[in-house]
Amino acid sequence: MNLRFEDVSVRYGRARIFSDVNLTVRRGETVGLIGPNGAGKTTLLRVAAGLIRPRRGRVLRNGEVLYFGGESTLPAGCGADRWSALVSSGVALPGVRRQIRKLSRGMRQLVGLRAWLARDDWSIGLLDEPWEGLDPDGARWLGQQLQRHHARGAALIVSSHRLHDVAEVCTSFAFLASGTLRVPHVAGGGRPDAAALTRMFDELRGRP
Amino acid sequence: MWTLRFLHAVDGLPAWMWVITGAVAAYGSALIWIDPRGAEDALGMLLLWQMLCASRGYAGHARAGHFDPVLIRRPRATIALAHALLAIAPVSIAWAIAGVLQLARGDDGALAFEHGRLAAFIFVGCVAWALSLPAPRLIVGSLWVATILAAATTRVGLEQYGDLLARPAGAMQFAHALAVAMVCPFVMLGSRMPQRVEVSVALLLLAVAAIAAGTLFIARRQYALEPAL
Repeated sequence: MNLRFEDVSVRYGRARIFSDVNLTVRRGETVGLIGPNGAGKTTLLRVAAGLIRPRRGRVLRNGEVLYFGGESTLPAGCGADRWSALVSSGVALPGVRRQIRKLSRGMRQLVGLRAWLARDDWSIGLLDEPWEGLDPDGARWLGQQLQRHHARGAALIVSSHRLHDVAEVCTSFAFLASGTLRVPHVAGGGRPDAAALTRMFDELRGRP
Repeated sequence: MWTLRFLHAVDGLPAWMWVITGAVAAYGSALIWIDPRGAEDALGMLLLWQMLCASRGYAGHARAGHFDPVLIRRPRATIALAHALLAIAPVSIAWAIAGVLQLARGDDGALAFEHGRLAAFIFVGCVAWALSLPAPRLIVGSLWVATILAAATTRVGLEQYGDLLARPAGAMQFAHALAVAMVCPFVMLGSRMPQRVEVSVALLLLAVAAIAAGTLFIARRQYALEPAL
């Protein structure tokens, strides 16, 4: 086990975000976290990263954590190459010298992902909407990187709305909706495609 | 070191504040070098600038997720102390230069290193840093300066200072002196402050308490992203 949620509940003030979440992510497992906007996917990942304390329950982590919350979490006034060098712990990256605020959204996303994924010293990876803003080349590169880290035994949770990409790289899935996390049973143990994921998600939410 | 480098890269002093820090340090040094009577003016400038510089802010960057990489990799107490150090260090270096210059000139003791003035400087840096954590950069320092200006330009401040000097020595005078020094630490730059040693010790204790409170703020904070709240 690399990461385990045990009866985790989170509230912001009086608003319940999710409750009684139980999830185990093992070595070499890539979990696709799927849910509608505002379901609490980002909060769940930030709880896993230790950035938010749950109201109840606990999160057990076995290893160093990588968390990337998306391009909006990059500091706009910082030089992209400087930020990359700091986050990647000196792993050489092709330099983008401009300030982060002067890059396009896709470039910012790529800078953030490249800096984080260049490192191999983590064992729990938490990526929030990593495909957002990426062009097809970037999306392909990201898929390859996730496969590489999966192959070296990292435990990953990847949240996304892009079900095709999620279906391609994830080995298991978790659906978060209405404050509840559900882990579907995949008949036959095979890997579902995007259409099957959509169907499962609709069924779990009680939609026809 | 990585924590310091990261915080400096993400939330370092803006270039214009470095320029002013350099200008204040240079002007203060010149004042001290040319005429030792200018030392109090130089230290006053540095104290004022520390009020603003140390008012660094934290919550805005934290809410935006800018500190995520350091928050997941380093203990919160380390982050808090590094953040405080970066907030306080630039003007502290200028203050130390002022003291060294006075020593180099062979003046009778360096005013910058005299216990009362040094305690006031440390108090200002630590308290401005701690109070500024929930606010944007410069806001707390600016409010503090505005409060002092309001007190100095109205009867209230002058009456308080007059009452303090006229009060007989004792616990009430100490409490009054401490209250005045907390609101307007500039009074510690002069030599008329009653119970100077006791007030200096109290200011240092308050500075330590401010650092502890700031560390607690950073350690216990929930780091949700802004849109999630």
